[in-house]
Amino acid sequence: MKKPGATGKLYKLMFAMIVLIVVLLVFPYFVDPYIVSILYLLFIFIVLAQTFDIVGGYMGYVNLGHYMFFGIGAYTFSILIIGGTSIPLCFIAAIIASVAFAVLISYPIFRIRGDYFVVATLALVVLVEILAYNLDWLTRGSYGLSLPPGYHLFSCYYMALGLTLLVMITKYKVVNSKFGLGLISIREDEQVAEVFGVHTFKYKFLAFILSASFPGMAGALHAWYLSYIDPPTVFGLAVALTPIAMTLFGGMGTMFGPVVGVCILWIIEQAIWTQTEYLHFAMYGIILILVGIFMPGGVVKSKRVQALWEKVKGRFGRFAA
Amino acid sequence: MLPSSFIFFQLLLGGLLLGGIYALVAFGLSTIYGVAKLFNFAHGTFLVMAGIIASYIYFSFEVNPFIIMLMVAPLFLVVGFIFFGFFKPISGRSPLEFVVGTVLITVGLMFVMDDVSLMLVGGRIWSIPYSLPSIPIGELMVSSTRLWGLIAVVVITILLSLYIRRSYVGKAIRAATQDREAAMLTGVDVSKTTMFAFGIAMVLVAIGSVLYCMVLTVAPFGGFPMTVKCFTIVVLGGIGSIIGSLVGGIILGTSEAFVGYYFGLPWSEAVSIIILLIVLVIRPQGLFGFR
Repeated sequence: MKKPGATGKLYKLMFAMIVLIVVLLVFPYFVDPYIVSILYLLFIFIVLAQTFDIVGGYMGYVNLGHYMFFGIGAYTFSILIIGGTSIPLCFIAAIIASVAFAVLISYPIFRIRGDYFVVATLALVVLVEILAYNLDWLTRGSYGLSLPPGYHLFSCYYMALGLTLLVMITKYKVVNSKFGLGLISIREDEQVAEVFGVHTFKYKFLAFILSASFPGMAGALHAWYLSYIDPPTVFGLAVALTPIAMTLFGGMGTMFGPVVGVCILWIIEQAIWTQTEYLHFAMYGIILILVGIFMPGGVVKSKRVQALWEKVKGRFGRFAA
Repeated sequence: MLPSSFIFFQLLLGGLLLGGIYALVAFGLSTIYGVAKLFNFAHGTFLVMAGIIASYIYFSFEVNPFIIMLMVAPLFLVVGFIFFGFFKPISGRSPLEFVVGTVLITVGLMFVMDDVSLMLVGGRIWSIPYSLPSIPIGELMVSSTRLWGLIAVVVITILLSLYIRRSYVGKAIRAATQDREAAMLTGVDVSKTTMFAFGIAMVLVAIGSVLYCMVLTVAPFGGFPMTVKCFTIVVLGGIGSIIGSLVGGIILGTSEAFVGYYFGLPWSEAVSIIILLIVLVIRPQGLFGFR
């Protein structure tokens, strides 16, 4: 398996990773809290994008309703913390709630595939939003829930960083395993995969639950960070599609595509939001349309970008040698 | 105190009209899906756009809604042709990339149209408050606007089904829905047929939007729930079948009317999604067994 020199490369990669993590760990002490909050949101988006990609990119089931797990986590956390439960227990409950919801819907939702699956999952977000509006004895409807106030930016930042690392490791492990191979075979041809002995429903079920657990945690974290949630902030269609648009932009079914997409679009969005008053979504929409027409595989898989990457890699290789 | 039979009749009439409108709009969605195998996420948003334009014409010129229909329909035929142009570059891609590409393009269009309409007309709601005197049928008073709307839906559905059955374009659309390659082999220009399918779908959206604005309201960013309703109808009634769309539309329209009355209006929005999930669990192939 290992090519000569592969171990050296791996060590270099790990070294770079450790440097990056250390930089991110000490980062908040040297910069403005505003930049820390931007980075925190970047981590949240990476968590959502990467977990979406396990089901969407590797398994080929484009789950446009991925954000509902985030919202369910946020609501569970908020309701419990207002009820006076201790914070760690609230986080655990948020994960359990989103996983339970995934288990509940996995049976009907996996009876369909292709674009039917895409629409049905997006419809689920709308359903959950309607529930959040209408079950006002539980969620207080459009008034939203106010959490006990507090300044949690730094703890949220570190927890989001940890969650991001966990998600990256999990995705790496999944992708480079028999399980990941099974998911890819489901994407390529589900019937053939079934014939060759892949237990397709079990694989789909497990991948779905795995991809639901992290967003539940991220949603709880975000509710803690915001101290206030209402249906549009955690279930709105525009926010629900943002991490997915980022993933599709970066490149589905790749290890670092979603991260690239999140970073590029998040920087663009920050630039737009602070510069203009109108048409944020329209600009987002135009980016989506352009990516859809010219590179549905995403930035990472686009031929020009790959050629550029090869060039960069070649140069670095020469330096190393 | 109103007699319960009166309420029942009013709800039924309202539900039938709403269902007929849904059926027209959903048939457009299923035509596009049948011919081009792409799902139009912006379908309801197109309806909202058409509704805003129609209401704007109504408030500016005070003309009869049925004349507005004749004005908006040709406009949306052209919109349909332009919309089709977006999918030309991605037609040769692999299945998953095609799905992703169509999702990106239609969701992007949804955002752009929502945001531009919000900027141009603001967040207010739009409707066509056109009403005629009520007419008594026996002991019941019936809104004649609704009756005319219902008659219009029936006439348009008959015309549409004649067009799809008899005309060359209609036959070509049905052929391409059943088997794209076979249609190509028998000399159907599938690309042009797809273009016309988009055009017809958008004309139906325009007609449906005028009728919709006569009974309900539209607002920017309110398009996606409409798309979900159309999708529910397509799942219920099957692809490319007018009868199926009509049955699905009427089931959805009447159940929304009754749920809205007995459980409160906010819950009627949830009906379409709940029906969708139930159908997916019990009969994923749809009520009539084909998709």
